[in-house]
Amino acid sequence: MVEVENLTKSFPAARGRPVPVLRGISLQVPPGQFLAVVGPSGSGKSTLLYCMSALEVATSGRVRILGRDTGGLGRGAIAKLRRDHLGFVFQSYNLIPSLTARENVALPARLARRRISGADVDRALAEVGLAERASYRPSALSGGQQQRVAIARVLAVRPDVVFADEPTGALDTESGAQVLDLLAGVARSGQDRSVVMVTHDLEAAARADRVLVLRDGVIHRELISPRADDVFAAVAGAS
Amino acid sequence: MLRLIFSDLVANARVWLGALLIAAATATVGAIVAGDIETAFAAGGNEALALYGISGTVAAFTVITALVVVGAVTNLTVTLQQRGYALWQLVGLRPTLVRLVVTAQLLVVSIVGSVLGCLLALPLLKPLFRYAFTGSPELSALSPRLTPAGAVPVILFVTVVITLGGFRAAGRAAHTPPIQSLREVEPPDRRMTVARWMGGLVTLALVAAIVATLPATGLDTMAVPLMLLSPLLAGVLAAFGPLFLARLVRVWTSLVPATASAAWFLARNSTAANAARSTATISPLMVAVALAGGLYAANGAVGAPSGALSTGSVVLLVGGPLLLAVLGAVATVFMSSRRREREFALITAAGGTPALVLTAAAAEAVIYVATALLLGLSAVAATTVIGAWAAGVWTVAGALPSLTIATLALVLLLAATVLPTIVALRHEVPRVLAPE
Repeated sequence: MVEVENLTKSFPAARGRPVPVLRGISLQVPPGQFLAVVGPSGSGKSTLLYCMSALEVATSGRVRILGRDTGGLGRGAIAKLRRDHLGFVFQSYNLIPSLTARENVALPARLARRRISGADVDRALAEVGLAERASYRPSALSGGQQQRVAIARVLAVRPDVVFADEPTGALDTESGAQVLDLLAGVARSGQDRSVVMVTHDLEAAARADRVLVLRDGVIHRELISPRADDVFAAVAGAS
Repeated sequence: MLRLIFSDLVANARVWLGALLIAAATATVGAIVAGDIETAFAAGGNEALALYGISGTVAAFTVITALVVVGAVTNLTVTLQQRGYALWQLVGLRPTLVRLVVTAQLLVVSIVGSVLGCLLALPLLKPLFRYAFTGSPELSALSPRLTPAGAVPVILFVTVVITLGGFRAAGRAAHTPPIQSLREVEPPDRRMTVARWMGGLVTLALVAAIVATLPATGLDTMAVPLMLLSPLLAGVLAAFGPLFLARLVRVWTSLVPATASAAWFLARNSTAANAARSTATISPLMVAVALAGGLYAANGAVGAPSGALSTGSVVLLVGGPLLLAVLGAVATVFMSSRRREREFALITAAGGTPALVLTAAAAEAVIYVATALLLGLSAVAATTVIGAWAAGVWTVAGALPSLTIATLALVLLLAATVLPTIVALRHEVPRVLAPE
């Protein structure tokens, strides 16, 4: 589904040489997998997610999504890839403020000029428990509700890969748990859809099928279906 | 506190630069009018009487325009920084102190801007005076002057209008709930306030008073009161804007079906939902359209051919206020471009192409100008009807200048929306969407 090969990313420094953030990362995300990326602050986990999702240009290396090398695609083609195959859930600012929850959910389909029925949109909102709030604008929704609308968008559009950057970072425990259940549900829907989630919440990471622990821009450990204690120990070892 | 005042001015330079620009532009226009009055005072005799009459009309146009433009820009200046004010309270700043800091910032910007504006007027005064009075050898022979005695009232006017205009907004800033800093903040909808009701009703009463005097006014002197009607009516519409503006935008933009264009859909929602932002842009544009159209409609109503208004006269009468109104609209778009960047990033993340984002930005400019044209033309049409009632002449002379100003404004507004959008599209989405 997503293949990353020898990926590097450096950011320009105020003085001197560029600062390397990712140092030759290679990984694969197969269909239907829920992958969590954890690591200490500055380990490069968010940068990895953005490079994997073609939101940020890598310095070198290759990212293939559904077999297409994103490095060779123009901005228009990347936009098409995003609206047809990718979904995003950010830590905050997920929704267009001037659109209602219903309009935000239908937005990717509208941009792709795909038909999406009102019933599909309402069903997605109902799945995240926000059927009653369909006509609300983001400013009238709590942070957790906004996150759930972003997930409803993912449910309605059914992208092949969902990228989530700290989706529970600004939420309370209960709202965070709801969001994680919904993300896990996407990966386990049996429709070969993958979820890549960056998080600093180790309990949240333990909900994933596979956990990558990053340290200084490289993969330090890889855990399969770990318990929270395993993730904690691995991250402690990386710090 | 001084440190907070100045560091915040620098941190939000884009917003404050817009306010500074409008303070300077208002002062420049005001200083040129003040220069004319000073010149009249020094000249004495018939020349003084003629100059006082002309300057009075220009001053009236300038005051109406300044009140609408400066009010809109000042309100937007504060509204765009609501989140910052919420953060200030979160770190322990008392609401009264927040209000004090915001008022102090408005004071600093208005004084600096108005002094700069007066200085800018100095080299412009003589050539503009000569150009405007080319057709009058007696007046063009005068030596225009602007001394501190003329400049100080202008600086005071600009400072008072900006500071008082922002006073209520500063109060709103002081009462921004700190929790807003943690949530997605949307500028609050503009609502009717007591000041708006009073301003609108007083202006409406002024319009009624002028209209009542028209039947007893001779054709040779009717043009001046008639040409005041259109900008005054625009002022009334601007004051009552919160009652109907968002609805008006939604109604007329629905002529293009939502399914026809995603860019139009995004632009119309953005314009209608962000009432504070939209009103700040549409109101000055509406005044610009009403000024230009009203001048020609009044002239046509008293039977003068359109050609009777020389370019010099038009520049003299409405040039400054027009410039101020159009600059005001452009400044408001520039000031709120930071907020737009986030929306563009979200559209990009949702799969919008750069072309779609650019088209949506351009569509927003079109919606602003078309709405302003619709409202401005209604003020011009009212002037035409009143003129026909009072003078017995029907004219369509106001239509073409209104359209010309709207076209010019559209070009400038397209530049003000599209250019920052091109720059915004170069920013990587994660940086724009990162929590501040």
